[in-house]
Amino acid sequence: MTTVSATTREEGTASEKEAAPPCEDLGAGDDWAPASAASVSEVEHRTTETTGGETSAKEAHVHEYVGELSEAECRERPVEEAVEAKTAPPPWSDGLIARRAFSSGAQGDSGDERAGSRYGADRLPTARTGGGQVPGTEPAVEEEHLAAASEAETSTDGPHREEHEETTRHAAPPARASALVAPSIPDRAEEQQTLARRLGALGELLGLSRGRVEPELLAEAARVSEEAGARRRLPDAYSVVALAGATGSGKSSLFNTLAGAQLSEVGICRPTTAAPVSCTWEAAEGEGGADGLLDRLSIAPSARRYSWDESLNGLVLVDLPDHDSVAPDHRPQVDRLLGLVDAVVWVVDPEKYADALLHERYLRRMPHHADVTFVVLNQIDRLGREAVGAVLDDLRRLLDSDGVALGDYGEPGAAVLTTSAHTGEGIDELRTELASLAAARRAAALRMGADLDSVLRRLRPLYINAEAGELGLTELIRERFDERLAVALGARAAGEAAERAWLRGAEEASATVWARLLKRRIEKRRRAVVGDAERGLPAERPGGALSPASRPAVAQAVRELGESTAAGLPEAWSRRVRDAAFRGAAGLPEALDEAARRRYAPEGAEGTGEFSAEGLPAEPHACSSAVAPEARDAAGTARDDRAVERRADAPGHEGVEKKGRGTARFRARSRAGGAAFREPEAGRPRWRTRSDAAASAPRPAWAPVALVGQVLMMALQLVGAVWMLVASTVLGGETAPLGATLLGAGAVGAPLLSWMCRRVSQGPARVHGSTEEARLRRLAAGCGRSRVLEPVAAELMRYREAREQYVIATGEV
Amino acid sequence: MAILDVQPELLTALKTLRDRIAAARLPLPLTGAERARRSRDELLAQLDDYLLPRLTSPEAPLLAVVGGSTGAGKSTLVNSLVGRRVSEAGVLRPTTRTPVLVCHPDDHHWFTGARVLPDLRRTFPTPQNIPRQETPDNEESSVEEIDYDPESTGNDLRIETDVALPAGLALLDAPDIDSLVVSNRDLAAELVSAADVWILVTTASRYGDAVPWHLLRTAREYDVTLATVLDRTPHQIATEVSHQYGLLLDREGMEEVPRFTIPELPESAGGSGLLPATAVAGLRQWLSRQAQDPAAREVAAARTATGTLASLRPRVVALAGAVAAQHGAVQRLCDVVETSFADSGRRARRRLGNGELLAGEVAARLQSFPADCGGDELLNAFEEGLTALLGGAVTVADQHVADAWRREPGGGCCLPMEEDEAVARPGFLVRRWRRCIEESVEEEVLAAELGALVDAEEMAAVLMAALLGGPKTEELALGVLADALGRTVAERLRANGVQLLDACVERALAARRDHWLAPLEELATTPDSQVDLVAAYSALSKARAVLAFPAARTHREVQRER
Repeated sequence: MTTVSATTREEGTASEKEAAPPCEDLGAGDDWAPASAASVSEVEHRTTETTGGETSAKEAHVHEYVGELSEAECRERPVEEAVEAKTAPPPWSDGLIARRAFSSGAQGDSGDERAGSRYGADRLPTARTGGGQVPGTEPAVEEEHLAAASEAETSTDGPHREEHEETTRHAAPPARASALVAPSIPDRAEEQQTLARRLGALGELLGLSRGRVEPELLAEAARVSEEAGARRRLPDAYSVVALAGATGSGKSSLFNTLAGAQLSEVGICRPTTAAPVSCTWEAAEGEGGADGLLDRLSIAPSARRYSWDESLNGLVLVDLPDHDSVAPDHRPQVDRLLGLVDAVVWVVDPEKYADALLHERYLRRMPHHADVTFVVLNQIDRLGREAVGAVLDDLRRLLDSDGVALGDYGEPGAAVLTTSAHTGEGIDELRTELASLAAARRAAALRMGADLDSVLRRLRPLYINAEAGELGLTELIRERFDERLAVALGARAAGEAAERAWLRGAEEASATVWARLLKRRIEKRRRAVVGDAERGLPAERPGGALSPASRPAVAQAVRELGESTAAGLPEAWSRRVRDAAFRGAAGLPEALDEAARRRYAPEGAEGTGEFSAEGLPAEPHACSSAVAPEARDAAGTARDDRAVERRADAPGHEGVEKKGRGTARFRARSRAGGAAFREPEAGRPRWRTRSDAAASAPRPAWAPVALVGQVLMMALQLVGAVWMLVASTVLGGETAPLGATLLGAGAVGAPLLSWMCRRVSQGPARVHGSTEEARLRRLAAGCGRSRVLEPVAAELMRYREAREQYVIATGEV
Repeated sequence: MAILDVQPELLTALKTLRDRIAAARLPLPLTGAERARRSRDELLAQLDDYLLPRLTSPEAPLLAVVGGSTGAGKSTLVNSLVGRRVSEAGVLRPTTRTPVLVCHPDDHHWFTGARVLPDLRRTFPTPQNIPRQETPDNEESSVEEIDYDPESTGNDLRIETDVALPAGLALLDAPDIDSLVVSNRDLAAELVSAADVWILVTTASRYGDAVPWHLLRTAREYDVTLATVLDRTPHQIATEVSHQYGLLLDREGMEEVPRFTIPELPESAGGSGLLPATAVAGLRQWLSRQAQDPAAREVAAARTATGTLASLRPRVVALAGAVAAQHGAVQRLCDVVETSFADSGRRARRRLGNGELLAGEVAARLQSFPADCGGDELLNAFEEGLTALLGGAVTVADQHVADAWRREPGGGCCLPMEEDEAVARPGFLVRRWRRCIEESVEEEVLAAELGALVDAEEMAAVLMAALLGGPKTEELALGVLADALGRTVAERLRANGVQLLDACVERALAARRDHWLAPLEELATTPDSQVDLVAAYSALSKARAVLAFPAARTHREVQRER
């Protein structure tokens, strides 16, 4: 092999399409030692040659791979390998990474160092500064470095000084390498685990969001999930790298250069590459073939090539068609393949590096993929020496403004290189970069991570709302909802009415005799004037059944609940929560009606006063029951007419008037009393009237006792009056004061009794009212909870789960 | 010398069309509205920059624009044609930031005014303004350098003069048509459409690109005078690439377009110099002939002018269509608002008529009315119930409109600002109505002098029950009122109350509806704009048809006849 290369070297022809055998002399096999041994001999061979063939090699634009083993390369690499060969080889030979982990202390532009820092050293931050991770060996190593450096300097002549400095930096002590290399496998496993976790969370997220979020928004995420699954099933020993770029940028030339053979067509007729071509460097034994990967990329079997180069083991290089030519089917192919490969090398040239298409359509849309992106400025032989720097700076500036992180000074990011496929300049760095990428075996994981990042970034507004306050069904919201439902059911009004009815009943039961008589007289007189006004008004709906729940109020309650619960959520979820609330509330009014009716039916006949459950037919019964007590009252109070007149303004009547309305209430009540005498009009459906209402006021249990007391008081007054009369006229004046006392006692005692009864019944009245209210509230809250609050809570739970999964998927946890 | 003999009617028709196009408004973000807006801007620019000036003063010199992609070598070409460095050329891309126009000193006065390209500010070279060459080694330059402010691109036009150019021709070096800087792209498009002669430059590695081909096809469609240059061709492959390019042009139907090939030479590589005169000789000769030979000049100018005139038709028609679509969309949005509020109002009235208010609190209060419930409590309950009903109606209509607008294309941008009082408005109106009812009842009670016997507030409550309680309750309540105040009074009160209630409901809905319609009315689209545009275009085509000059027909038509 070395002889072949030597021969071709000597010939020095500039044949473009010669199929030179891939050069294996650079390859790092599993062991450095044999390779370095070979290359040492190679070095000797070449160094004898270079002095002769230097000038010819520089001029000719040779296309053969061997030719690209330019002077620089011969000077750099083999010499460092010579130094390396002197020290003991490490037992485990992922030598490239280990070396770079050390050499990243230097801030040179060499691709080796950057690559190493990207894949190796960022795990070991101290390696960059050279701080003592492995104590003891470090300082010794440094000294060795310095010794070697000084030695080298003195021994070699000027032109080689730079290279020697670099090589001494490269020549890291292998003893440390083994200590540092070992952790890389557990780290990779950890990375795989993290990735698996994130992908799992993404899958969960998609499942939770189905049916809630529009499918087209999730399409991208579903695609990423699927592709990641497919990729993970394929071996990650292979890293698929695509060469992409505009037409004429030199992708195919680079491809051929790297592969070492004329595998892809290079031509002057544009556009050239029409179908992708791949070149595989087989990985170590036991890792399987790359056929699965190539099938996934839909690369035709005839377009699959193979090459051998130890350093590039595990690399699958794909030459893509261009993305900006007239041919219409190139761009869709490129777009599809860019979504399937692991890493992308963007090949630009000095003419087209600022093309809007490249930056706007591709680079700007993949800002998270910086770790698996390379940008190569090709055709630098068309620029003057000094212009290369300017153009490179401009390119970096453009990349920066595209949002692509640039990997400078050991930071992870995209690598920017310059090459010339014609002269071979810069090809080595590119090859080294690719080799380290392939050897690290992290390309697939990095790519999947970047895809996840970018898709999750786009999905963020669907799950996370930055201004969200306190989320969910807070106590406050629940209370407000219950309150409104209670209003819709009329709980407070019902409670107040019950209380007042109770009080009214107590009042009537404890009224003094005079008051009762007066009430009747005035009512009769009123009736004569204004007729049977103010008949009680029914609360009746055309259906015949009473409907306790107010639809608009229920709707308002549900709407407010929906609004306040959905306030902090992202768009799609807030809509779902509102929909859940409305759906649940669809049957809520009917449910409230039903519940209220069921509760009321047994009590309606008793006439607690508010609702009569049945419609028409119940009325007559209510009427009849109402009439009887009135008749009883009427009979019992006929005697008290006269007393009533004198008691017209007795304080007993004011108790009822809570609003201080003057005499209107009194008159109203007396009118009610008067109505009792009217016969129910037969034939006309009679609604519950005021008299019914009055009559249906609950009679307290102590009513008969109160009546007896009042009658006693009345009797006392009468006896006192008679006594006074008799005493002053017949018996002489001594017993008159006794009569007066009796009279006075009776006159004071009656209202006092009445007042005491009323006071005593205030408490129970309030209790009665509030139990009524509380019962209705409980009813309302129960219906509301089961129909509305629970579905809403379920939706919120689902949103919370989705958000949790999102956070896990972003890998921040 | 006259290039085109034009009638004044053509000019007036053209000016009217231009005004109508400028007046076309496309406010809503419908699909295709963005493209229509851009097309309108391009039309306006082309009319202002090229057509009107050309037709108004046909003897003006020809303007040839050199356009192409990034890095095609336009500036170097212009410099080489002129013979000295008038335009910046360099390695960093994009290079040309300020367009440069070079003309013969005799023609200078044609371009200093606002005749052509009126919205670009003219700047002139002062002795310090000689462009600095982008020498990468940054050596000291013998001339002073003025920093070009990178922000002020796109508004300047630098005018240079040189006797090397033939009289009657002006060269314009445009920015890249696919530049990364968006304003440069727009400027390039504008400049290209302002020219009489288009020179499109492409390179050996770019001739397969899609973007320049798009421009070539547009040129063919507009039938402008066109030449294409294949620049920066490495001399080894020049013939083959040229042949390939020729094949591609033939396939597009552009066989007769003059084609020039210019090799890549080390002097021009890196933008450090001019091409030798021999390299650009062919192009120069062609340009000189176009400028100086009267027949060729006539044909060149006329061809572009008539081609552009002919190309107006589809563009104006498309613009008219877009304007009509805008109007249609606005109409649809208005309709949605009207129908949903009308529906809501109908539903609310029906509910009131059915007595659906008698539920919940209202029912509880009414049940216990005179005995256990005061008049004002009942009134409060009714008021709250009615507010809830009206508020619900307004909110439902709101939601409906918001959803429908969100679905409509272009509706999303018209959503009005939220007002807080929109929610409170039904409450306010209902309270006012209640006060009216109470006052009317009080008046009647006072008038009938029943103040001692009849409680006005309770009567008011009964009246409200009559108005809001449904048919059965209405009957009974009216009976009560009639008994208390007399039948005629009761009837009068009821009629008055019904009227006021209707007004209240109407007002509650109308306020919200107008809130939605306000932004639509501001857009002020009418069906007239489309009609106007089409009418203006018809006038123009009629005027064109009466042109006596044979060049009025497009070049293609002439070819077809031959």
